[in-house]
This record gives sequence, C-alpha cells and structure tokens, in this order.
Amino acid sequence: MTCSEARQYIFAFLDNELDSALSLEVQQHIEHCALCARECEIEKIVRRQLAAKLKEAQALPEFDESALVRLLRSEPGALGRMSRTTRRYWKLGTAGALAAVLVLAASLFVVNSARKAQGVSLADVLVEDFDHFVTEAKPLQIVSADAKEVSEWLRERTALAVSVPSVDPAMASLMGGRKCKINGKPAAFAVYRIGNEMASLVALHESDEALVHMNRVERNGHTHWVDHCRGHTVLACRRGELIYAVISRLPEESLYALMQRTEG
Amino acid sequence: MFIEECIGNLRMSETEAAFLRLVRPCWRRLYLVARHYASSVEDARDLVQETLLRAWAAYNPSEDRSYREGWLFVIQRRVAAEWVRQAHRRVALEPGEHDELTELVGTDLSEPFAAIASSTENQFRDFLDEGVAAAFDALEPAFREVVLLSVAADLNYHEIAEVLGCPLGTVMSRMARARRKLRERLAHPSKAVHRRPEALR
Repeated sequence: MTCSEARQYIFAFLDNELDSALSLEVQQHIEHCALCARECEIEKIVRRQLAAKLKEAQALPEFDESALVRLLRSEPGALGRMSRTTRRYWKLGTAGALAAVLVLAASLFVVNSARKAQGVSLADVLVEDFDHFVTEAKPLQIVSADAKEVSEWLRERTALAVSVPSVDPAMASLMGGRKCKINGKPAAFAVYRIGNEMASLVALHESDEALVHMNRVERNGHTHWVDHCRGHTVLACRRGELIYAVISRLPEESLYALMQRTEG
Repeated sequence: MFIEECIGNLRMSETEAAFLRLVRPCWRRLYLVARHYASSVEDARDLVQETLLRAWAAYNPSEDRSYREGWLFVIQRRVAAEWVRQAHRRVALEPGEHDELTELVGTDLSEPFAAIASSTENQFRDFLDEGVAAAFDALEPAFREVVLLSVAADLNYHEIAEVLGCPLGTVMSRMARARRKLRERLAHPSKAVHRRPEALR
C-alpha cells in the first residue's frame, strides 16, 4: 500500500471501520511509514480534542429514571420543570401508548372505497394506517390528555362532528390526535394507550357499505363491525353521521369499553 | 442496578423498563447532538424530550424487531428536520439532504494532509484547544453533522448511515472529507468563515 492509498483510509482505519484485510494493510503501511504514522498520531489528538470540546457540556440534565417513569405516567408533580409544550408531550408519552385516530376514519373510508375494487377491506386500510403511524413514529399534531381539547382541535380542522371520548385513567390514557385527508376527505385520528399497547380511534364520514366486509356483532345495544387483520383487531361502530373505528393489537373484548365511551 | 431499583420502587412495567434501558445509555449523547441541531439550550431540551416521546409512542417490544440506539437519533434528526420545515423553531444545524456531488469537489483523499504548524506537542495541544471548536463550527453542515454523530454521539458508520438515510460508502467518504476539511481549517484558520448562528457549548 502506498502513502496516497493509506491516506484514503486513514480515518476509517482509526475509527475501526475497515474490514480486517484492509485494516491490516493500512496497519502494515503505518508500521513502515513514519510520515503516515505521524499523521495518524496527529489525527488521534485532533479527534480526542474535538471530542472533549463537543462533549464538554454545562448543565446537561441528569437522567432521572424515576422522574421519567412518573412523567410517562402523567403524574402532574413530575412535570413541574418542563415547558408548557413539553409538558403536554410528556402527558402524551406518560399516558402510555395507545393511539387512536379519530379523523382518519373519514379518510380511511375514502381509501377503503377506492380499494374495494381491488378487494382491500376497510380493516386492511385501517391496520395499514395504524402500522404506518406506529412504525414511522408519525407526530401527533395535538398532544393532550384532555379529550375536550383534542375534540375541539379536530372539529376545527376537519369540520367533522368528532367527539374524542375521555377515558378512565385506570383503563387507558389519551395521548393526542391528528387530522388528515385521504382522497381529499378530512378524517380525524386520536391515539390512546391501554396498558402497554397502543390503540387508534379513527372517525370517518362514510356509509355502512364500507363495513360490509366486516363481521356484524350486536353488543351494548349497538351494532358493531369487527375484523381481524395481521395481528390487529378492528372494531367499528356508527355514531350519527360518522363511523368510529378502534384499531389495536389488543383483543376485541378490550376495545368495547373504549368504543362504548364514544356514545358520549 | 439503578434501573432495577426503579423497577422495584415504581413497579415499572416491562415495556417501560425496556424503553428506559434503551434510552439511558444515549441520554447524554442525545442532548449533546441536540445542542448542535437546536439554536438554544431550551430548544435542545425540547428536541430531546419530543424525540423520546415519539420514540415511546412508537415503541413496541412485542414487535419482531430490535431497537438500537441509532433509532433514537433517527427520530431526533427527523424532529429537527420538521422544525426546519415548520419554521417554528430556530435550528442551527439543518439536517437536510446534501448534494453528494458538491462534497466530491475539491477534496482529493489521496493528497497529503494540511500541515499544522507547531513546534512542540504541548503547543499543538494548546493550539487545538483554542482552535478545534471554531474549525468544527466552520465546517459545512453535511460535514459537521457526520462528525458530530461520530465524535459526540459515538455512533459507528453503520448507525450514522441509518441516521442520515444514506449508504455506508457515503458516510465513509463524507467522514474522510469532513476530517480533512477540519485539518485544513486548523491549518488555515482564516478559512473558518462558515459559522453557526449561535454556537452552543
């Protein structure tokens, strides 16, 4: 290996990022080349000094795990030192992790209609959207555990008469919501955490035809539609002009309580 | 041990405990990197917290996937990029898409390194102590970011490629050019004209 070749790899070599064969070649060259060996030493010092500068930080917050757990659980006292915005986000995180998307319902139905011709059911569309939200870590546009606040936010932005249900803290926690448009139609989306699982509640402006591929179940004096898809449960119910759908990995029985709260 | 104590005291769920185990080792490094993305200490704190909240919202250990530290830095960079797009926060280091062709211009990796004048090792160290931060600040954003993720976040090249969303070869090439440019800035401090709006240290 020549000096010019060694110089191309010297940084990756010092970072231990070369494969063993190439690393050995660079190592052997350095052992026999005083000039390149000196450059290596200089680079080590530069990197060390830079690391010291970049890592010297004043007033870095301590990692207080017990405080973090309290925050995750929305204990008000634990939020005291945080900014207003952050506090709301922490409430979201604390609440646990369940995402329900309210406004998405409308959009999901639209998507469903478009996909019917391709044999894609509403449940498929809802689960796909839910998975996308979770895996992409999509941001909530409003982060709040206050159902009234989330409802108002969604109503203002979607023109849908959405009512995000409040929940018993012992049962679940509201994290927040998002608005979206699918095929040009607004939809509402709210997210809850139930235990260690997330659930989304989607509100759609659609007809019952969108539900024909799902199983019809009479429960609590209402007609529900249920489907299971890729490890998820989808539970839907009509509320006035809107259809609400809950999507989660939780079993069907765990979702009726949340759906019942949408009767409002 | 501390985590186990917390688990005992707070009866932490397995999911919460697993999440904290993931976060704890990179808590400090997330802040160090955030201080360069963000324009103020307050924004840096919010950036980390928003990152963790999004991570927590997406975290599902029952899924058939593994969560690595790099995942948190991916989310952090995404949040910073959103701040830039939404323009509701000041961002000092914009995590944008970078033109690789531009990076290739003017840097021959086989050429000798820029010589830094110094007579003794102590002098050299003193010189670095005074000049290395300014030289780093003078780097173009794409180069500053790759060095930051390596030196401050201690991510390896594979992890950096994941964070930047680019091939491993691009990281290796960009890193070599960035470090060469750093040496050039140290050798010729007058070239250090590209400064961040508000250096945070």
